[in-house]
Amino acid sequence: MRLSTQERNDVKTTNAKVSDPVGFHLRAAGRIVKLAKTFTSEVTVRFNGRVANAKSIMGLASLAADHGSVVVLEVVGADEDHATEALLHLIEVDLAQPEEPRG
Amino acid sequence: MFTLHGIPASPGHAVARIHRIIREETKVRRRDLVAGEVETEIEVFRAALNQARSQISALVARLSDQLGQDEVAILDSQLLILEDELLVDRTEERIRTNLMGAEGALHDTMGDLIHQFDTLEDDYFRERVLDLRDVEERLLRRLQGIDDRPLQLPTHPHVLVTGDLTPSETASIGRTQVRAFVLGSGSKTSHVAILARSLGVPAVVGLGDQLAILDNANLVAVDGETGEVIVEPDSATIARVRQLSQKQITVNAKLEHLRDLPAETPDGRRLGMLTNIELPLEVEMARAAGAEGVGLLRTEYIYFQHQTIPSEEEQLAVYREIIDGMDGRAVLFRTLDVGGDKIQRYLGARKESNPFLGWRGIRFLLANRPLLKTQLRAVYRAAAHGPTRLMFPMITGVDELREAKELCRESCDELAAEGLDHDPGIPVGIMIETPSAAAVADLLARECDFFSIGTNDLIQYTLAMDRLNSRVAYLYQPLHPAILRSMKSIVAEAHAAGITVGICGEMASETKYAEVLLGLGFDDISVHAAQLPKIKQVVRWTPMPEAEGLLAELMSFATADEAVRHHESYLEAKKRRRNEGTGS
Repeated sequence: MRLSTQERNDVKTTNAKVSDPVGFHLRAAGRIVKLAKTFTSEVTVRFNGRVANAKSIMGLASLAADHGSVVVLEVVGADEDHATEALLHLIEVDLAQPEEPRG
Repeated sequence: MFTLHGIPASPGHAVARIHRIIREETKVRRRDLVAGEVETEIEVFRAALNQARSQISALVARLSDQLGQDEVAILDSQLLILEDELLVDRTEERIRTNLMGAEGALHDTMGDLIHQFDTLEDDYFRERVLDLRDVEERLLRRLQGIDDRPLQLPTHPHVLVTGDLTPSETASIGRTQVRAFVLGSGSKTSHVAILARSLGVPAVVGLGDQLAILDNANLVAVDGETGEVIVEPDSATIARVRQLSQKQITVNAKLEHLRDLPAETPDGRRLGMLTNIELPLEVEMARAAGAEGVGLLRTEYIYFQHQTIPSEEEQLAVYREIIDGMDGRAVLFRTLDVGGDKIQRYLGARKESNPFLGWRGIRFLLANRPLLKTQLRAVYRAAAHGPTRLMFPMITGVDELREAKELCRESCDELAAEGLDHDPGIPVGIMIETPSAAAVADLLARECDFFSIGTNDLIQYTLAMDRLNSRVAYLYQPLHPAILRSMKSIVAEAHAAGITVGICGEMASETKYAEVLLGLGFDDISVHAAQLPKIKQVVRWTPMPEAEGLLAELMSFATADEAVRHHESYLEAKKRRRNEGTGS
């Protein structure tokens, strides 16, 4: 896992390498949205000149970030440290594995 | 009478009345609001969102044990779309600022989003547009209070004509009165195409907008071999197509008695007759054809059916279904083989200038170890329930084989440590489909339990011809001296090392090559289920000296052309002999 975190204008900016073999398709985007929604911080994801709110499944999917591409996470808010850490882990590590079956 | 042309997706002929399913798109009723109506309209829109959400949640709750993980995931993402600010906020903004009715505002918002996806370069993401249209349709229906009805099929014989079928609709068709499928969308590998092939029902797909012509049609004749759909056929055409479909039934009936007989030459040489399958629903057809096992289970389609990588448990369930269905006959699993002509977008591979020489087969697997391990664990666990073999695609040398086997060992160690039921002793083999694997067959044979020759790739790589390039397609020459020599030496090296060697790929399924393959000395061949009885018949007619003699003659020629001519005259003479034989 690569960490290149820098503080800039109160926004916590982190690079995250997409580990899901399919990229940000709907299912992966859905997992990110569900996690992002558990935090109060605003989370913005940038890729290839496009910007999306991490709490918007269509926004994330429209980034068309494929496997191995590096997206930029911008997190601002009270729980930004926790949010950054959790989202980074999801994108870089957990997305490589299928979601745990429910129940 | 006139003819439409589509993609042939399942062979056979049928003529029957059309049953047309038209999914009418709900019309958008546009209206302008007066200022005082805005808040009410937003309430109406929010109520529709809520209804759509509870509808989906109820569906998941009610069908959770019937739906697969992929269908649940689709519904899951639809729930998130219904909460998405890009949909909700922007629609409400249009209602408020532009004084638009909810339906128009929703439609325009969706239009923007769809446009955004449509302009993406990647096909995979572009296809997500379908999910958005689905959500819009659902919301429009809620806004207009329209009921959703399930798929209903007539009880008389019919040709099912529709734009597309969802996987769950396809699964519900089963053995109804469907004589043929005619679809607007789809490809040879779509769900419907696979189902049609396993039901032995002809299918033509990819007709696109031509489908609209069928709206008022009554009768169609479908040719699943050429992709022709003849609309309102005249009586001569009807008679011709009926005869063709009858002929197929007669041939099958004639070969029916062979089903439980072995593929054994008159002088006692036995050839294992296996089939290629892709999905559990084909098991029934494999057994009906008299297959002694599955000689190639392409696992790609099991993956492509899912929105994302199926988990170990999901794979285990599918693999077990196949193993249980084959009831003691061995199933040969080929690990995921993506790349080349197969859809890559699902696994996020990038466009390559030379995909057939690129990141595919074992190369892709070894670069995605967690993915491979998940599949290996599922196969080893499934193997505890019946005879199983495992093989790796696109091997070019011993190092790849060793690495793959190391992962097999790791998987088994893990399973043992976790106390999970599995069979660590299953045979592990490789596909021989690259010239380098053919060249080092002796080295590979020492370190694996069997070979299976994949002729499609072996021919294309050996003759350096891209089989998708029509200008060099003439070089697809299974009887080229380079191919015959290569196969002969692979078989010899396998047998010298005491391992078995089989063959899969299109060449194996062509009846005309059966004697050649017999002469080459293969232990088993794996073919399309529909071809199995015909090939078995040839084997039962051909003594080994005849097959070996033919091979020696074919190998004596310097060019493929000469070999082909000789082969044709051999087949002609044989046919004449048989006709005379049966005539006397």
